[in-house]
Amino acid sequence: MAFRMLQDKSENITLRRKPESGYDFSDSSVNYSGESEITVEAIFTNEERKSGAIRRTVMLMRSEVDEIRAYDELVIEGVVWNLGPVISDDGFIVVVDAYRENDG
Amino acid sequence: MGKYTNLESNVHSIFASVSWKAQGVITVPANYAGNVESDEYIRISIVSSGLGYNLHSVSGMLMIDIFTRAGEGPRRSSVIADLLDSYLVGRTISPTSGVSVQMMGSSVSQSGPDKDNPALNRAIYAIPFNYSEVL
Repeated sequence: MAFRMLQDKSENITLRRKPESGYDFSDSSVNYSGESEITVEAIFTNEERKSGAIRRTVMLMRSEVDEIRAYDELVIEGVVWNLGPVISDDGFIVVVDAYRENDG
Repeated sequence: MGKYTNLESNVHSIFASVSWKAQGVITVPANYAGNVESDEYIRISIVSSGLGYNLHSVSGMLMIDIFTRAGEGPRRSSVIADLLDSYLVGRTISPTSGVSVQMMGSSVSQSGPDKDNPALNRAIYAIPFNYSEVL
């Protein structure tokens, strides 16, 4: 409901799913069980620039994103953002911080 | 490769082995962010902290966090520590030519519930090492 009320502030972004399946000690890399992308609706509620990094807080619809995992990424206007831990998830709206380096 | 990369590769080769994988203990390194969907696993950290025999050598401590179910006493972490001992204590690891890691004796301490997941107990297994490279 809240998401619908704010719909005029939402934008379509890409959620790049990278579900991990463990760590391979023989080649020092994270194993991923496939990679896929979906377009989701997002509402950005806050932006902060600190110590060379930009943090944006983003609200996503749970029905669109299902579970957010540690190595998932957002792609916004062609720029990749890493995700921090999920801040809240009430079953309808997932709130999570997205980070990237401040390139200027 | 440099000494820290070689050190990491040598130590991690133990946990990449078929023999270790067959033990069934989920093993992750420091700075692994993925979900570990188990109530029992270990996390490997290499702490290089001391002088070595030469400029291409270093001593330090292999620190291994042992996570087991909270509230069930220390036995399971002791069993995993003994298992680690059988792979590490007194061993010389040298899968890479010209380099070796000499492991010493170990110790274990209980540190109580994990701060990130209090459903797990954290014990710390520590074993000093000397890493050396032939100049």
